[in-house]
Amino acid sequence: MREDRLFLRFVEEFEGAGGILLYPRGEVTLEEAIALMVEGEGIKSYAISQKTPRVKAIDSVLKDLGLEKSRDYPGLDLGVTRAHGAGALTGTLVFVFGEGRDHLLTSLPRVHLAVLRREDLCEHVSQAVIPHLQGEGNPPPYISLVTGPSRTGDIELTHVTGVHGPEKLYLMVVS
Amino acid sequence: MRGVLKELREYPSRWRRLQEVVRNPIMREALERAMTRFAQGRAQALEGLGDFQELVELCRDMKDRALDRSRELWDRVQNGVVARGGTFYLAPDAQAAREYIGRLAREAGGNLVVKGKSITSEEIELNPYLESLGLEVVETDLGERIIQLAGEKPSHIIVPAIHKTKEEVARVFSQAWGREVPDDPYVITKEVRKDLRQKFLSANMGMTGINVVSADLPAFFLMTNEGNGRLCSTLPPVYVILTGWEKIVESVEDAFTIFDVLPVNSVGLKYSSYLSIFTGSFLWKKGRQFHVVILDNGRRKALDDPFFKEALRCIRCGACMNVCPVYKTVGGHTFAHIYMGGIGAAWTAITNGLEEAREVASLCTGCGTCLEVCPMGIPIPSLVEHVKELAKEKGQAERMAIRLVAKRKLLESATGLASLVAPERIARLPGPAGLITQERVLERPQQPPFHPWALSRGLEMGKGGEVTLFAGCMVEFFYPNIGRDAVELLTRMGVPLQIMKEECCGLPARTVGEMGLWEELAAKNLSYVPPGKPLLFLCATCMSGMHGYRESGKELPPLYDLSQLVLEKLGGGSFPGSCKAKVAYHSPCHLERHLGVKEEPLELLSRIRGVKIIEGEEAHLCCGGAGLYAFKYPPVSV
Ligand code: SF4
Ligand code: SF4
Repeated sequence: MREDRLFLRFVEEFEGAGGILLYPRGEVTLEEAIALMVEGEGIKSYAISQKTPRVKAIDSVLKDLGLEKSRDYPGLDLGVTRAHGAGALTGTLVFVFGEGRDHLLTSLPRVHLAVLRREDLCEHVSQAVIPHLQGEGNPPPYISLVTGPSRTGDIELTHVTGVHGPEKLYLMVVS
Repeated sequence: MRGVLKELREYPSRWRRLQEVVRNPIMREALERAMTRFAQGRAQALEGLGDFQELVELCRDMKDRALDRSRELWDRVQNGVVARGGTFYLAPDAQAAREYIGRLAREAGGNLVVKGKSITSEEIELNPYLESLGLEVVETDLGERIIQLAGEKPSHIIVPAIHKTKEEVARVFSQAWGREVPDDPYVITKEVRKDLRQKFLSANMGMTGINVVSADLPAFFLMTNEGNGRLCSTLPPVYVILTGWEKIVESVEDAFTIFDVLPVNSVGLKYSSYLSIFTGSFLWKKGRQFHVVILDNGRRKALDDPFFKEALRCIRCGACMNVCPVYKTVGGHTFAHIYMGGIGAAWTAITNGLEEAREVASLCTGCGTCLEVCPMGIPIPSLVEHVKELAKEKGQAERMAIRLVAKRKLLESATGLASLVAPERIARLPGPAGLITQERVLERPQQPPFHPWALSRGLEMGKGGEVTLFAGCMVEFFYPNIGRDAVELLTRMGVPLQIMKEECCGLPARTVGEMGLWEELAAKNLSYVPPGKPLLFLCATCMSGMHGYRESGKELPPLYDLSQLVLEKLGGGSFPGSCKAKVAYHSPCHLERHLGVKEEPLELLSRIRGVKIIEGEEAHLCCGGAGLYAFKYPPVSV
């Protein structure tokens, strides 16, 4: 698939699965896109993984918006992490975790913002995962593939998001 | 004989129980809604996956390869897990698995265990065991939590609490938490999130099942939508995986192939929200433990049984249940032991024994609807027959009934007598048997039967024709008019017919697991079939029965359904004459699904001038006849 068609397909699937794309483009700057999310979701506290692309820029935007940076992960409103890859055919994000607590930022907060480098997008999600598993040395202990927010239909098939994981999944794509 | 009488005496109470289930409007409506949604979602999502049959072959071969090498592959997994600091235990049976996990839980300290959805843990009855050790066990999947608190069993494999309304769910939580909970699914879900978040954070041990294990790394794959599996596996200091021997595949690539199919086939989602991959190097936090418990409990033995080995391919997508007419009617509380549906009969035989399995198997009509959706190419109706064949102690009454019906001479005398003394239509049978006629009318056998009429019409036994007609018992004794019309039609079309000596085709014997009788009847019928001439059938069941003789490697002449033969003779032309009528066509399971004859009857009808075909909503739904099924389970059958 050509790169631009791949990207369009990814966006279609990602949004179809309930993800929200935060895509600074045209008039909208990175700062404004993040501010919109923070305001819309009523976010007051956050934590950010140091491995996130543009970590400094994003961190300072969040700080400037007056959010509290917290280490109390279970009570967090927002967790920000890197997405190490993505699969266009299913709109899936790939998170690769080593030691440390970064994985909790994708599972505990109410809102999760992932930052993906556009070049890490693949067609099938397995293409984004297998290189991480088959590298030299021990494979990473835990890889998490995320397609949209946490959801259930267990009560009368009513669709509800945010059961145990994030209620909202935002994605920012950077080049 | 005593066994037969005992079973017969049990039927009325069994019927009453089934009637209650069938008449429960909430259950029926909820199941209907879930199954329709999932089946439609599946159909839509499948469009993006390419040729389904190719995919089935790919998945089947891949899984068979892994099962054939499973001993070696599990050794590899064990070495990998241990090398990365985890423990590995192969539990020979349910008790060993329970006790081992109980020890892990006690050693973990504290008294709280959080669990992800795991049917394997239900198989070993883990929760009551852990509770007997004084531990609190908390199911964290929302549906599982609802039924855990309600003290019930799952009614659907994907949505376990589908039988409960939101008002009932609110009552369950109000009672558990001692405060009023509104009957709003959104509010309930948020409250459950808060409640369970505390449990996740304070539990010392988390436990989940696993969908697939790839042997190459090794890696463990777990798919969920709610995200509870991720928290069970990553928050408590001790993480225990409990999974079955059959979950193995050779490589990570193979695992991904399964996930291409699983959520699509299950609920029509391209991917579930979360797919977690654990490689076993779990020691990212000091003191963290990782334990893998693999359950045998009959699985390795099943590898040596050619039928049950097929069941080991199951990935528990639930698609077979979402289309099953029996499941839709009675639900997973009734059509299950622990494992549900027709595939559940085989799984119950593997893990719990034949007696329980036979109960589940006996509810399956053998319609074959499930065959069309199983991504792993599992021949579920054949597995059900196999269970019935092995479970000799059960189903004695129906076996005896079939043995009697299969005696041609006896059937001839009995129907002859009934044709003289019975009313034309029996609208009501006396006593408990009245249930049989509650929504069905029984018809009187007709005189003369087909063969005497055909002989009087000048047809000869085994000679004189270009095509041999196999009438079958129903046409012979109950609907000889169908036989007469077929003969007149084909004669006018210039097709010379002959008839043959016949026994019961044997299919009813298969439906109750009387495989010996089936083979006997097949051998007799085969010895009567005149060589070289095409065989024509007026009954889909008989044709399917005869088709099955091929399984034993027997040579057979080409088999034709009447619609196929007439179409062939018509060539491209239309049917001579006309008939102004609206016609609804009901497609028989044996013809459509077992023999793959779908289009021909409709094509033939469309060639008759004046005929308007009406496609009924349930034109492809099993009629519930299925040998003696209508007599065995009348409340389900109609
Ligand atoms: S054969 Fe028919 S009744 Fe039996 S499990 Fe399959 S769909 Fe259900
Ligand atoms: S038998 Fe086939 S369709 Fe049914 S749950 Fe198993 S894999 Fe799915």
